[in-house]
Parts: sequence; C-alpha cells; structure tokens
Amino acid sequence: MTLTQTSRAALWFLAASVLLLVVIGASLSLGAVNISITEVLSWATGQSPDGSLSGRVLSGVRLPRTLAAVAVGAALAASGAALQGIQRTPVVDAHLMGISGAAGLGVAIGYTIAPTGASSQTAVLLGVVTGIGYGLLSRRFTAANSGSLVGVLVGIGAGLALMAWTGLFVLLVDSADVPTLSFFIFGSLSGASWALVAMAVPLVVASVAVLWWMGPGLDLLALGERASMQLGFDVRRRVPLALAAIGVAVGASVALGGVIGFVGLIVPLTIRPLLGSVNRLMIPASAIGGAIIVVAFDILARTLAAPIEIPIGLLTASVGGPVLVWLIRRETA
Amino acid sequence: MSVLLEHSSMHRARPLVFAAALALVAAACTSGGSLSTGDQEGSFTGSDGVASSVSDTSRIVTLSGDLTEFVYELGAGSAVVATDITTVHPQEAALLPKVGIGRFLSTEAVLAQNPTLVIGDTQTGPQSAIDQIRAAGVPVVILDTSTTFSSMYAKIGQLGEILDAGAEAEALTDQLRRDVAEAGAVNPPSQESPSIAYVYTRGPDVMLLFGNDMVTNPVIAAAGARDAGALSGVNGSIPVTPEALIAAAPDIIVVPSEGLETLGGIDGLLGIPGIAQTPAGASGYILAYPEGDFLTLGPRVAESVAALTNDLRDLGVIP
Repeated sequence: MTLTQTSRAALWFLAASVLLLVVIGASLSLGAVNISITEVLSWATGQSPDGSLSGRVLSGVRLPRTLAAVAVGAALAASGAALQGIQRTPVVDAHLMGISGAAGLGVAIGYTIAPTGASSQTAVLLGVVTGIGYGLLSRRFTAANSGSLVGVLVGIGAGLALMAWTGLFVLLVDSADVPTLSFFIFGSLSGASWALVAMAVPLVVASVAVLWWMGPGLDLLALGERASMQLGFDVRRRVPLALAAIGVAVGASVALGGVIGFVGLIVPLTIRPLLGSVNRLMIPASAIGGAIIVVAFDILARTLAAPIEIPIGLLTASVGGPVLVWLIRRETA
Repeated sequence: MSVLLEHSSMHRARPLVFAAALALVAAACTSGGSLSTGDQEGSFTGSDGVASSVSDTSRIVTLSGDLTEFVYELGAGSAVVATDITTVHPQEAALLPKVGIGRFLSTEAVLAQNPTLVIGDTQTGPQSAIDQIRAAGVPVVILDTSTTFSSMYAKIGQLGEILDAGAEAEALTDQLRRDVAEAGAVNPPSQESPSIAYVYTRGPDVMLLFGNDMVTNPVIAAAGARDAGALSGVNGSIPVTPEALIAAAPDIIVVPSEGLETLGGIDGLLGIPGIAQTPAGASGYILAYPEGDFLTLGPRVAESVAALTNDLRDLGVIP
C-alpha cells in the first residue's frame, strides 16, 4: 500500500468519524421534545440537572435509540461488505440474501415464547439463532452460484417467503407482546430500549470484529474459491464462520430495529470507489458508513411527519431500490 | 321510503383517522385496577398489573376520549395538558395539544408535554412506548377499555381513586345509572326486537362491522335492540364484506355521520355492495350519529342512548 493510499484512508476514517459524531449529536438533539445541542453537551458532560425533562428524554429514550441505530447500521453495512466478498458480487446484502427475513421470523417467535420479563433477551437470542441457521443453510443453495446473480435471486425468493411466513405468524399469534407487521417489513427503531441495546450491541461489536479479522481471507475469495483455497484460505471452515458472524450481526440488528433493507447494499457501494476492495478497510469503513446512514435516516423517520413516525425501511428502500436497479443493469451490461 | 336522521343536537365530532376506529376494537379485559392497600399512599395498580406511584396530578395527559371526559367530569379538567386525537369533548379539551393516537403512541410527543401523570387504557400502545415513558419517570396508569356499562362505572371509580375524587366519582356513577335507565327503551331486547348493525365507515375503502366487545354493543342493547354484528358472531370489528352484511341481515344500519358524508349520503351508502340487499337497505332504515359522540362510552353516553332510542321509536320498531 502506497503512502497516498494510506493517507487517503486515514483521511476518510477521520472525516467519517466526525460525520458520525455530528449525526449522533443531531439524533440526540432532534425530536418532539425540544433539546438544544448545548443541553445535549451539558448532559453528556454530566452537568445537566437531575430529573430534568431533557435529561430523562436523553438517557431514557434518545440515547438507547441512537445507540441502536449506530449498531444496526454498522451490522448491516459490515455484513453487506462481507457478503459481497463471499458471493463475489456487489449486488447482495443480508436483506437480499434473506438473512434479515429469517432473523425477523426468529425475533417474532422470540417475542411470542419469551418468559415474562425477558422478552428483549429472548427476541435477540432467537433472532441470532435463526440468523446463523439461515446463514449456514444459505451456503448450501448459493455456493454453486457465487459470482452470479442467480444466488442473489435464490436469496430474494427465500427472503420473500420468510417475510410472508413472519407476517402470517404475527397476524395469527395476534399478541400485544409481538411488534407490528410493519416492524418486520420496514423496520423501526422506536422500540429501542436499554434491555435490547445491552443484549444486542455487544453481539454486533463482536461479530463485526470477527468479520474484520477475517478480512484478508475474504479478499482471497475474490479470486474464486478454488484459487483462494490453493492460497491457504480454508474455505470450508472460514466461509461458514463468516456467515455465522453475519447471522449474529443481522439477527441482533433485526431485534433492535426490525427488517431494514438496502443499507448493506448502498454503503459498501459508496465506499469501495474511495477506499478500494481491501476488506480490512472496507469492513470497518462500512460499519461507520452504515452507522451514519441509519442514524441519519432514523432522524428523518421520526421528524418528517412528527409525531407520527415513518418506518425507516421505507426511506432506505426509496433510495436503495433505484440503486439496486442501476447496479443490476451495470453488472449485467 | 328512505329515512335519514341526523342529530344536530349532538356535538359535531372532528373527523378521526381510521386508526382511531381501530383503537376502539376492544380486547376482552378481566383484571381491573385497584389502589392497593398496604402499599405506599398513591400507588395504583392498573389493568396491566403495573403499580404506578401517583403523587402529582398537576399535569395530566389522557389517551382516550372517554378518559378525557371523565377526568373533566371529576373536576380535574384544568390539570389536563394534552390528549390523544379521539378526544372531541369538552370543547376546551378538544383544543388542547394532541399527542397522536393512543394506540400508536409516540413517546416523545407525550414527554414533550412534561406530564406528571399519563392515563391510558388497555388499547394504549405500543408497549415499548409505555415502557419508555415510564423509564423517563412519568407514571402511566392503564385502565380497562370499557365496552360494558358496568366496566365503565368501575372505571369512573378508579379515576376517582387516582384523582382523589371518590365522592365525585360516586355521584357521577349514580347520575349516569339513572340517566341511562331513563334514556333507554322500556323493554330489554328480545327475539322480536329489531337488529342493528353498526357499520363504521370512513368512505368506500374503510367499512367495518362492529360486534361484541365494542362500545356500540351496550348502547344498542340499552335502546332495546339486538346487535346484528354480535349476533352473527363478530368479536371486535371485521372488515365488511357483502356476504357478512347480508348474513347479519340487520333491520337497521347505524353509521358515523362523517362517514356517510364521505360516501355522498344515503345513496352512496346504498351503492356499497351488500348494503342494499339487507332489510335495512331495502327499507332505508339508516341512522347516522357523529362518531366522537356515539363511539365514546363516556359521561355523555346517555345522550347517545336517548338519540338511538328516540329514533327507533320514530321508526316504530320499538314501543
């Protein structure tokens, strides 16, 4: 790596980190309760008077929600970057592969069977378990098609079926303990609680770290599975490990914010021209980029039509759908 | 013959969104709330089993129209700072800020009012929003969603406990018992009584048939009629299909006047598939009342009972 590339990457990470802090500040400040950025800063430095309305809103509602948005964005975008390496195509993410749909079904079941007082934990657990299970299973029916759009189409079909099953499940169970159908189709961060965040965020951090650690191996996959095996990458063990890590990240993110599409597609797509395809850079950069995008879209989701919230997935799909069309045309041209 | 009775004597309701109607789909509720004895003073255990410590009732947010009206009737109206959109009465309450729809609550919209007490019912949701408001240190008291007169009276008693207005609650309950009895039909509904289908409509795309566990159910019974929706086995509300309506075979159809207006009056309603094929459609026995009045099982319920009873008498279907 030349010096210019290194400094360019350093500059990118610096700028992205600043931007992330800015959107986090905006996310804490904006909402139905008027809280100025000065109040946010004095609260963050512990100078806010005890029991004040803004303090209670910040620590009880907006901080867990903002942390959830950061984690969801990081999980989806880092998973997207890793999946694109595994499938050897930029036209894929956890949503298109059906992993989000599978995790959604797990989360819905988790809320249904959860013992009293442990609904968040059970939902995260079941989301992660189904995410891993489906991630590993998907390997069976997409491995032969890696590098082509056929594998993605298989994933889309499976994802649509899983979403339909989740919908049927939610409507038939008809329980107040289970989030609404909209949560499992278009997502929402409005239910983010400390219980969810405490369970899901560490899982996201750990799984993104695993993906980052596997970065060089994922780079080799770009040469094809046979070639990368000859270069010493244990495809049979490492690819399932990566898919399991993706299952954990996506399962935790779906428990936090429901099924939100296209984040894993758009973010790596935007970053790759700037930083190149080296996964040791792409995966952390995608995590930061994804966090920025989801926090920003969540701000729009709860302010555009306040006090009514727009499902965040409607916003990401509004942008992501056209990008997908453009991407497929480019790939098949 | 086409009979259409609109009630100018009743207060005109603001148009409510469709979701507000869904908010009236009541779940069957068994557990009532109570001020637990032995606990610290001001601790109230709601229908969700959560004990809230109610010490300050100076800034109240109410999340359902009937709750707002009862709080006003019990003399605590001046403490109400915001309501949900189903509140249409009294006038000063209707002018207060709205925090959204009780069933699709936005945490921040409620907290922005800096309330010291939030009163909702079992229709209030989502649970995550209730949890977040509680986490912010604001007590949220959940009462039953009443769909019978007896649960309504019980709710008045609970509000009396919460607002420290026990005597007022008792007086209001006695008054309402008398008013409802006086306003209603002489004879209770029997096999020979006319059947009424309450069809909630906001236009041709939103048509719901109400049945058991709905606020309309006790009002129809008090007016000496049978509830066609309940008789055909509807619990809560179901989307109207022509078949369901024809099967329910109501003698009379009651609709919200706002919805009837949107449909373009009685001819528009009769144009909906299935309506004209019912006995009510054939005879033109269609009644309309503002939804904010007829769909609130609150302090003005005797007016709704009186309006329906009198119209049924005018139609000659009850003595």
